[in-house]
Amino acid sequence: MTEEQLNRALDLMRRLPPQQIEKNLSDLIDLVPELCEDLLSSVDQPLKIARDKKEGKDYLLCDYNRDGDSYRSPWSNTYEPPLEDGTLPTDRLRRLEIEANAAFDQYRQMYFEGGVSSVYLWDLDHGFAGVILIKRAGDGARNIKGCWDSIHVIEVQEKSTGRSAHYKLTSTVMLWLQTSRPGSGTMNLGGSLTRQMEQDGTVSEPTSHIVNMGRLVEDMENKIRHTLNEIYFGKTKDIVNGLRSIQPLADQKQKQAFSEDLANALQKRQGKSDP
Amino acid sequence: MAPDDQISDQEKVRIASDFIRHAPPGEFNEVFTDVRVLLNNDTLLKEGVAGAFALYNKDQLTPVKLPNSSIPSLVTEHNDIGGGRFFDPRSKQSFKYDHLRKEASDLQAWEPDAAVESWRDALESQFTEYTANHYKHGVCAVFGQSRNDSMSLVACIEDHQFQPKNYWNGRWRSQWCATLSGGTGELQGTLRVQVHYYEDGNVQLVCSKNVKHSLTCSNEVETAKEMVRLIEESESEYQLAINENYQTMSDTTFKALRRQLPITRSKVDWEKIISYKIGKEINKAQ
Repeated sequence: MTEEQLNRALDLMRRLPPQQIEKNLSDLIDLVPELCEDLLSSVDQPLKIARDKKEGKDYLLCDYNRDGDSYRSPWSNTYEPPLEDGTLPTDRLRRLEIEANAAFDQYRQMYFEGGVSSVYLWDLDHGFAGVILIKRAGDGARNIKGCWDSIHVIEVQEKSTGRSAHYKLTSTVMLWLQTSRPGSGTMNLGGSLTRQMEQDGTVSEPTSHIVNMGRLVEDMENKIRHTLNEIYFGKTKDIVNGLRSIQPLADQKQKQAFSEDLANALQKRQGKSDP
Repeated sequence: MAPDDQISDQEKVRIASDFIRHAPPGEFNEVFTDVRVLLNNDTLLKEGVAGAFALYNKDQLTPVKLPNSSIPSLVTEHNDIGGGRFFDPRSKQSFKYDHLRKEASDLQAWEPDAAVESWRDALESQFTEYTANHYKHGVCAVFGQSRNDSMSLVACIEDHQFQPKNYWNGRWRSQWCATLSGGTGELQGTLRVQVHYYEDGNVQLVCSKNVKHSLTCSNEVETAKEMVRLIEESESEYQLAINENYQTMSDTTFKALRRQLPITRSKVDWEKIISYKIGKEINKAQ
C-alpha cells in the first residue's frame, strides 16, 4: 500500500502547480506522514540558501546535507544548528568534496556569472555519490523576477581496476519566472525538467572524477538549458496562442479558402498546358 | 512530526480539497484518483471533499453538453440554482449536473428573468459571434439578473486544448460582469490562462488579469455591441501583452540567468580548473 501511495504522491506533485511546491509537499506529508522520508528524498524543492558565518560564505540546503533539522556547510564541514554526531563524509571523500566545491564554484562563475553553488558527497559500497547544486536569482530587471535552481545527483561506480568509473547523472533544473504588470496582469511561468545521462570515464587520479563529473554536468546543463528555452518560450506560448486567436477566425477561413482557390486554379492551368 | 501524530479529519479534508481544487485543466480525474488513494478513506472523501468537486467545476467554467441541444453550456457559479442543478439560459432549461461524471441529466423547463431577458439575449447574440470568431472550440454563456434599479449581465467564455498523450493541457477562461443602472454601467473582466506541460517535468503557466471599463447604455443591441467591442479590445490587448512578456522573458531574463557558453565562447577546460586548484594548494603548503 505504501509503495502505491508513494507513486500517487509523486504523480500528484507532477500535476499540482509547481509554484506551490513547498506548501504542497508540506500538506502531502501531513496527509501521509509514513511517506515523509521518502517524499523529502524524492521531491525536488527550490533550493534555500544559508550562511556559513565561520567561513563567511553562502551554501545551499537540500536533503543530502540534512541530518535531522540541521544542515552541513560544504565550506566548514560542520552542522548548523550544531549536531553531536551528524553524518560526515570520510576523510578521503571530504578531500575530494573540497576540490569539487572549488571546481564547480568556478564553473558556476563562468556560466552563471553570480549565484551560489554547493557540492555534497557521500560514500557508496563500490564508489560514491554526490549532489551538485546551483542557485542563480535574477536581478529583477524589466520588472521580471527570475530564478534558476540546478540539482544534479550523480552516482559514481568505481571499477575494480580503479582506472575507470561509470557515472550516472540525474538532473533537475527548475526555472521560475514571474511578472506583475498593468498590461499583462500577473504572469507566472515556472516548474522543472528532469533528464538522465550516463557515461564511462577514465580515472588516473582522484581528481579525475571531478573532470569526468564536470564534463557530464556541463553537457547535461547545456542540453537542459536548450530544452527549457524551447518548452518555456516556445511550447507553452504556442499553446496559449492556440486557445485564442487575435486575428478573427472568419478572416483566417477566408484567407485559407482564397489560397485553396488559387492553388486549384494554378493546378488547372498547369494541367491544360501539359502535352 | 512523529508518525503517530495524525492530523484531524478536518485538516485531512482541507488538504484533500485544496489538492482537488488545484488540479490543472484536463487532469481532474488523475488528481482525484491520487487524492483518493492518499486519503484512504472513501467515507471522508464522499462526505467532506465532494463539495470541492463542484467548486472546481464551477471555477473552471466547465463546458457541458446538453442531450437535446447542439450548443453546449457552461457550469459556473452564476447559473448554480442549488441541489446540484444549473440552468442554461440559451435553451431555457435547467439540468442536474454530475460533478464526477461531468454529465447533465433530468432536463426541465426554466423561466428566464423577464425584466432582463431582452438585454441578456442581445448580449448572447453578439457574444456568441465574438466567441466563434476568436476561440476555435470556445463555449460561451450569458447570464442576466435584475435587481430593483439595476441589471447585471455576466458573460463567460471557456476554451481548452487537452493533449495528455503529448503531456500537455491548457485552458482559457474569460468572465465579464456588467452592472447597468440608469444610462450608465460598469464592465469588469477577469481573464485567466493556465497551461501545464509535463513530459519529464512539471512546467505551468498561470496568468490572470483584471480589467475595468465604463459603459454608456442606450438600447439592448447597442449596449451589447459596445460591450463586445470593449471585450474584444481588452482580450486581444491581453494576449499581445502575454506574448510580449514571453519575448522579454526569453531575450532578457532567461539569458541573464545562465549563459549558453562561458564568455570564452568554448566549454570549460576542467583539467585546467583542477590543476589551478592543486597549484593553489601546493602554494599554500609552502
